[in-house]
Amino acid sequence: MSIDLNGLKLKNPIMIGAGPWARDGMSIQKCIDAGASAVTTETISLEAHKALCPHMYSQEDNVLNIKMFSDLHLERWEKEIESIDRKDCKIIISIWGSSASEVSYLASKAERMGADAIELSLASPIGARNRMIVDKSSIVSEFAQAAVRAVSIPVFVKLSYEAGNTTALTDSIYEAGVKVVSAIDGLRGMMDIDVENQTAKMPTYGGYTGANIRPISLATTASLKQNTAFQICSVGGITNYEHVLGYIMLGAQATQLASVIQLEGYPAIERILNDLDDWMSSHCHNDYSEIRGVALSTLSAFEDIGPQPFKAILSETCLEDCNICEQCCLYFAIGRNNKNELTISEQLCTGCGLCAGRCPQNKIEIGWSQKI
Amino acid sequence: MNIKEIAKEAGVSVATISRVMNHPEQVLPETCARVLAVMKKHNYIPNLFARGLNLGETKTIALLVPNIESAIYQMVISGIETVALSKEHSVLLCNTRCDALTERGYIEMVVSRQVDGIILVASLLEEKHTEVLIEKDIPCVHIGKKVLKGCHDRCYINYADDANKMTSYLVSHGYETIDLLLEEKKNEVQEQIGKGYKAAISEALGYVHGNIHFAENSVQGGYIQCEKLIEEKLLPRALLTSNDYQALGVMKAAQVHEIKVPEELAIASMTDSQICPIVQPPLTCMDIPAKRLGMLAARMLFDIIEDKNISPHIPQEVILQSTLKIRRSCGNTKNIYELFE
Repeated sequence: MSIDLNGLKLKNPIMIGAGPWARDGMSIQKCIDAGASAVTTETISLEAHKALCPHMYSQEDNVLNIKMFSDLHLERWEKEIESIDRKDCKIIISIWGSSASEVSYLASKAERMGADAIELSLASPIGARNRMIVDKSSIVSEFAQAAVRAVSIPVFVKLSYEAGNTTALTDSIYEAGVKVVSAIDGLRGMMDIDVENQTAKMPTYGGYTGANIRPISLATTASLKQNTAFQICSVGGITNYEHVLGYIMLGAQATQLASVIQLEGYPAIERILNDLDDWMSSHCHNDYSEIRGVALSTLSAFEDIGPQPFKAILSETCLEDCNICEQCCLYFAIGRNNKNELTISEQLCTGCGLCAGRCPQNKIEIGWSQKI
Repeated sequence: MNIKEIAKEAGVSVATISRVMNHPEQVLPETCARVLAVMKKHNYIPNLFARGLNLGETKTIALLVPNIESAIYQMVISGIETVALSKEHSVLLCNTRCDALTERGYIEMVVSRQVDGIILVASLLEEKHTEVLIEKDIPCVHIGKKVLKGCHDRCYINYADDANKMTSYLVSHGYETIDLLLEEKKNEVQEQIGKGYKAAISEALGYVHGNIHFAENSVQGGYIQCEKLIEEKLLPRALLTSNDYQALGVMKAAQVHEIKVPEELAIASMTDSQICPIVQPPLTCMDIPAKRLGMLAARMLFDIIEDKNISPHIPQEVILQSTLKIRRSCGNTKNIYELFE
């Protein structure tokens, strides 16, 4: 069941992404003890950065954060890394530098500290300097090359959504010698505006993570898998084993948990791992390679999909008065007969599918028109 | 209590005490424990200088700074001290006063004191003056672009790049005359700033003109220079200063002479400080990662010290990037630029 990530042997596909849940030896140990196959440290730079208060904002199951880097100095990190009982877990040190030579220095420092791999943080959603980097593929490739040349361990690159979907950029990283990417980083986001006081609730842009970014990350995994030769560590809104399997079925080599630890704590790691093992054995799979990328064949380019004459069909008589389907139908196809039963006009229905998705009781299906 | 007395009480020779401290693996564990217990009882602290004579290590590094009054160098010093402390080393601080002779004197002094390593900042020394570093095999890092004998490890800010970026930013506002105010004491940093400024001006293909002036590195220096330009009716549309003290002096002179900033005079500085964002209008500055630079230099030095007996050292050259902090003193009115570059 082990996974090969550019030569790194992982015991399972559950890695921990870079973030404050892996901010020192003790928190990394919690990830290891919960069974993670690899832990990525919070991003380390040459200078410790004091965090703002507050720096995390929660909105439903999503989190906005404005913490970019670790608040520990390198010397302290040396001791923290030393204090870890690694067991069979890999330690990936995430680094950020402002120039190629700075990246090169940090990478070799991280290797000396005992990292099994390095993750290069290029495009943070917070702050504008990093946005510029994404615009310039030449700089990105220079940074990646500097890291690759400085060390003999694997170098991963963490991609933002924009970077992951910019072919010129991903190509240049690959040419620089990087074989693994993590995608995606948080999106640049902002909290609501306090309308009464006419002020922003957050003092600056933040990194938006959580359930809402999963669809975006899924699409990025699919496109990276099809357009590049990278091994992909998918990250974004994973809260259960099905999400992990989804990414793998789109071609991910492994996945990284992140915001779920913020929302549920470290036990989430063990829960997802156990559920994943159960699913694999109940489906008689011995290796993740048996399911990796299997769902890709069910995807087509939009231009290649022809319209089919599907309609919304009621699977049983419905007398509910929730009216959700009626309200959401933009084609005025849903109404009621004199017995107050729900009716769908085949003539007006376009088979858009929205009512089927919205029905809380799953009473509506999309299927072949009855007349054909 | 000295080493002889400790030896007597523990019932061992002075040489054994020395071995316990420096090569404990060569001493029987029982003996080691007995000696350490006696040391602890009497709160014995080894004389580091004496230890240095014996082991060639003094747990001290020397730092030669051109001007300890400069705010930027103070951040550099703070960064170095932070790393040195965590490596249990003390820092010997030497102020070379932007003077090559003083710097040479200091080099000789710190070499004779057997420091474990040296950090030079914007050194004015010439190649031959640092030969002693090779002779005595003392690790050295230069915070500056210049390669010196025995000092191949360098880290620095690309000031020419920064000045070019800042001048180009001023050019982008359409200012036709952009002057530069440098420090009167010549050094590597001032040279680099001048170079980057000139490159950006000549890139503007004759549309933009500018002169270079010199003043003391102080608020007063900037004030006097600005007043002089006003009285001679030579005031440019935009003035870039080599540091924020000068910029604040220029601002004060403009205020006294009722010249509106930025409507009549745009001001920008090549260094940032805590004062820059709170003056009116907030000053547009280059934010130099000075503390990070100091920390990096110290780390590079300890890398050499710690690896000295392990592997041949490969010299490093690391360049750090500054950030342009666009505030209001050059005509910008957007908040987003004030928050982010």
